[in-house]
Amino acid sequence: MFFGFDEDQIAVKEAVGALLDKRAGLTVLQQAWSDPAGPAAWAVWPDLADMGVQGLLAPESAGGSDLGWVTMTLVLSEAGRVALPLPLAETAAIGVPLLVSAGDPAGVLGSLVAGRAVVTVASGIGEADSGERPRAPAASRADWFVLGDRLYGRDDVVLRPVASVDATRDLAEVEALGEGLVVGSPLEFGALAAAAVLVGLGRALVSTTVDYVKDRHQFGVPVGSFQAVKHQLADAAMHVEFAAPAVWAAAWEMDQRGGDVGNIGEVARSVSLAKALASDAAERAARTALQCHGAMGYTDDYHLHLWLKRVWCLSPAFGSARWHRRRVGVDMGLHG
Amino acid sequence: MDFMNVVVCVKQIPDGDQSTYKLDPTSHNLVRDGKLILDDSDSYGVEMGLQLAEQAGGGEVTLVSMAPNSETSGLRTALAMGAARAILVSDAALAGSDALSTAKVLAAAIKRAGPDLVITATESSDGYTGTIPVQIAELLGMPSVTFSKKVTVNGDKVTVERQTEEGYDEVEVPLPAVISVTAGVVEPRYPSFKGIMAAKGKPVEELKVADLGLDAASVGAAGAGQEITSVVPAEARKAGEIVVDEGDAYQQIINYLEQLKVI
Repeated sequence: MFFGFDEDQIAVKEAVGALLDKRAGLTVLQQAWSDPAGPAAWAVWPDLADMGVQGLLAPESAGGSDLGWVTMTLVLSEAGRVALPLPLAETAAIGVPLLVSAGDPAGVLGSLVAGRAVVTVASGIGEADSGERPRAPAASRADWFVLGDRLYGRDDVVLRPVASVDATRDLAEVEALGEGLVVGSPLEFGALAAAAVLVGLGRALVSTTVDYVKDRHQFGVPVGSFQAVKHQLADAAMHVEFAAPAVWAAAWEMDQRGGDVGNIGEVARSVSLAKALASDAAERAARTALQCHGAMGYTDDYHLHLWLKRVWCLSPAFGSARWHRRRVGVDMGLHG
Repeated sequence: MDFMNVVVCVKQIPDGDQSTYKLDPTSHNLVRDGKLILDDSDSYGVEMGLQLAEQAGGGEVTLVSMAPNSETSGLRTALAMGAARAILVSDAALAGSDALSTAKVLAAAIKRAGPDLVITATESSDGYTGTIPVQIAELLGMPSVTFSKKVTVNGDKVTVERQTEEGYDEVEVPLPAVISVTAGVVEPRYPSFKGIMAAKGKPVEELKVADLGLDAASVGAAGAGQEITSVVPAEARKAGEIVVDEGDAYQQIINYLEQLKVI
């Protein structure tokens, strides 16, 4: 049995990667840092829609390509690699599949697929004790808000902007006013999507740092020639590469069930495994990257912080590693 | 013209930039063993071809490429953009071809497609001879226009704004013709997922030298009119001289420039 990515999946990943490299590179990311809702940050959104990214999980009848979750996670890890400052996971990997399974009650699927409308998700999952209201990224530009298991239009929510450590997040507390439309819980889709993005972020952090330590000299040699640096980076790379197959496996299981997550069970357990491993691995990669960059890693003037801070935001999103490990434990009957 | 048959020549080149290219130590030829990708400079020609076929109200783009090892990865990219089919010439006898043998092969393959218009890039990003477009035109007996930055087809004529150092010339030639386009001519589209899926089913006709009616002795290393005898790395740039200004720096600079006979 062949267990790997097929040619189509790789071709789609490479096409998206090439588009992001050309149209959502570092300059765009830095512009998003100062103006996350601005035209520079969002210029690539319609290009992604033209390519078919927002419609990747939508059926062909809705203008989508129905390519499934394995392809989706590959695409999202490309978005993580470039730290794409847009709610692609929220729109394409949460909003679209929720609306598809709910039968598109608001009639917005077509506009999401075409890149004309944007969904964001206010996640409070795993942070219930914090007493904070759920917060959503891309709040200034989103047309639709998923809160709990419901979908609200922009007029049916009150938004209070809050500062995020990652200024590209454009974060706001979301409070619902109306009844909204029941679309289902974003938890499984959100956790899997965040895990895929975290793999991309983690890989980028490792490879950027490897490049840096080869280039940066101290005591007359590249700092990367020291074992203390090499070993840390090897550990970081190993954890990210161990997390990646768990993400692809959870995506594959999601595809086997046609995106219908149903009750907690095999898919939820796989999603939890993927998210726990990806959150931990990306956090480790971020910590190692920061350490190996020395003081360079701290400054806003150097681009590393954009990847670090995105990891800090996504690692707890849709359940932290700890929350997901506990869920697996409960599912296995290990907790009361 | 109701139906426009456009041939676009595309080259599949090694991935990466030139710093990662390797030369065979004996033949000094570029090693092209791994996966090859569509030369970025050819995506402009593909886009131009697609747009002209659309503007004609009907038509299609046929890709013509010559590559080792039956390589089609780069062709798939261009097929995903919207080209209808491809002709690939792949034959071990073609290893070591110089520009003219390459042009002979491409011209023979192009002839089979019976084009109204042939589009090429200005030059490839791995070879940089820039001579193939005009050689193809000569071999096919077609007029050629190089450095096209704007292309319009009117009936049986093509009008081109041809980039020059001062501006551009407006040139009109009868079809069929060969034009080479610059990177500024159009903005290449990104292949959509639907295009990528459709590309798999599009025909790629693979031909050998014999299929083209060419003599194997006239192409490849056997037919090459040139031989690379040696390759040496470019000399590293020497460190510059730092002039500290103690009131006489201008005089030192003048002396230096005089020594170079620039002033």
